[in-house]
Amino acid sequence: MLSKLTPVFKISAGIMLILVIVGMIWPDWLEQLTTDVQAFIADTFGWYYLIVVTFFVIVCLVFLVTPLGKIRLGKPGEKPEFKRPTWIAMLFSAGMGIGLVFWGAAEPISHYAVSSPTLETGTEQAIKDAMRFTFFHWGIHAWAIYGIVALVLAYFNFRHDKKGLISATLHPIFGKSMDGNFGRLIDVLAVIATVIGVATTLGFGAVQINGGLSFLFDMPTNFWMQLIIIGIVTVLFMISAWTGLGKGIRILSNTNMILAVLLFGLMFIVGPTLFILNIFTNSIGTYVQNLPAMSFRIAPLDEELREWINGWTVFYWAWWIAWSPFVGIFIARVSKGRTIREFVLTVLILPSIIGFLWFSTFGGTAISLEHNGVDIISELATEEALFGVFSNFPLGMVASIVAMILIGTFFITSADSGTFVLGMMTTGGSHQPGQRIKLVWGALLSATALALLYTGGLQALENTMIVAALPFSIIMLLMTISFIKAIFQEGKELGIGEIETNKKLKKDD
Amino acid sequence: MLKKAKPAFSISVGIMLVLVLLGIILPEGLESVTETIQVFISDKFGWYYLILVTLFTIICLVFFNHTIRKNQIGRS
Repeated sequence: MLSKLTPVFKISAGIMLILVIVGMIWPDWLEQLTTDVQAFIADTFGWYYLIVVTFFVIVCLVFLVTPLGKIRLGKPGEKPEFKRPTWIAMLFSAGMGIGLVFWGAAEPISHYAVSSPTLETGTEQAIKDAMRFTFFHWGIHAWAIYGIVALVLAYFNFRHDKKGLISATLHPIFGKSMDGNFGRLIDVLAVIATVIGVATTLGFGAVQINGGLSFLFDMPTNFWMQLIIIGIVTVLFMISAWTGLGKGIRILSNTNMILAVLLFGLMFIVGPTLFILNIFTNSIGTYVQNLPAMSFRIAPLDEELREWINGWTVFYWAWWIAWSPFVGIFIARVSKGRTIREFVLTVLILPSIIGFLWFSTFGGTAISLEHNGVDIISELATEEALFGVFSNFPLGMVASIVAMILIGTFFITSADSGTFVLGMMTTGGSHQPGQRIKLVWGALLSATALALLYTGGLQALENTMIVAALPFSIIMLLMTISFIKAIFQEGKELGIGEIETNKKLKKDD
Repeated sequence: MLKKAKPAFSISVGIMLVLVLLGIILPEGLESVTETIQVFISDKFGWYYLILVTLFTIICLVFFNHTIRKNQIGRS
């Protein structure tokens, strides 16, 4: 087993190991370094992140209308493997899970009361702006980032029988050099972005479980508590990874969805239901209305706003990009057999609307509590905001405990599928990566999350992610160009575009 | 003609008749009832009307630019 290790595995595991060790030995130095690099990247490349992400959105939308959208992510005539509701549920639990629970109440309340996207806190206008920007960060841009990676991977893997590797998707523009060292470099960069993306999200999960324990049971909030939490969850997901992708992960995924729906339903009913529905409807309007302006909003003349954009918009774009190889591989896997148009419509629009409902419910409730002077949620730490909201309602204790279990199960499923995806990426695209390789990645994921929490807590997690996303964003751009090139070629061969004049083409393809 | 009336006819005529009679006999009662219901609906279901109507608009626009646009309404 060990003798067959690929160079991609050795190099990327080596780099992550060094990062973890440096973080343990010189935490202050590493923190300073990531802070500086992050500030440099966000300041200097903020415009680039905004343009690149909006470009992905536009590419996705184009495939919604062009006749090329009829091409199938699979062989002609192939049927989708999963039913639509299952498919959407899987998109959701993979794509955002922990993030939704972590930020559900925390982000809107922060925009409203702490640091506003329009520098106006506490007013009625601030409520609308808070919701509009939350929708923006969790809306179609996020799903376009996931969608584009998944689309490109699925197209090359299932339609053209290429390996399920990031480097394999670049064949149309770089040719054979993708099988050599250049291709390996691409895969290593993708693996590192994935490890940091997954590890960061695990870090958020651990901090939030800690926040819940501290809010409910007065336990301390510190690194050692988080060490214990990550330790316990690591043992659990290692067992799950060891026993294989089959039963364990499916049971947990279903549990996740049931718990999330329960939590959402409870908050929706005990919370200010009508206000939630009104804020949901109104924010959809302001979101759609302001989409182009928000997409390119970099505030060149206003220091304070610029800071806000770096801390939120650029951070989210980097988060989604760092997460995207992981989520993209997963989404590609479950979308086999769909047409491109169907894929884009379902991956972009439906999860966005579900996310909007989620944020209207948790964020709307938090804001309504604070605006009506019932409770001051914004004084709590970010990771405690959700529990603060629950404490104002009947069944609050039950909801808080359910939320903590939910984060725990999301943590396990994310880490488990993370080890699988990393195993796949580092064994030449194998759909059955070896157990030991998966365990090494599992250990490295948890160790990275711990090392980052140790060096500088949540802030270190956010900083590292912005750094790790930059190289992968360039790979994503190349993937998109490669995809466009290949699909236009295929379109020409199939005679798509002339479809209306000569009806040679069958409906399926 | 009347002998062949379908239930849909007799029921709706009946309901309208009751409404008209109520309006004549108890005009104020009817006014306050409809007003209360109207306030309740537009308060609680305003969001629903907005989303529903926009959904209809979107669906119409989709068919405007869809291959189905060539299909006629009715048999060809």
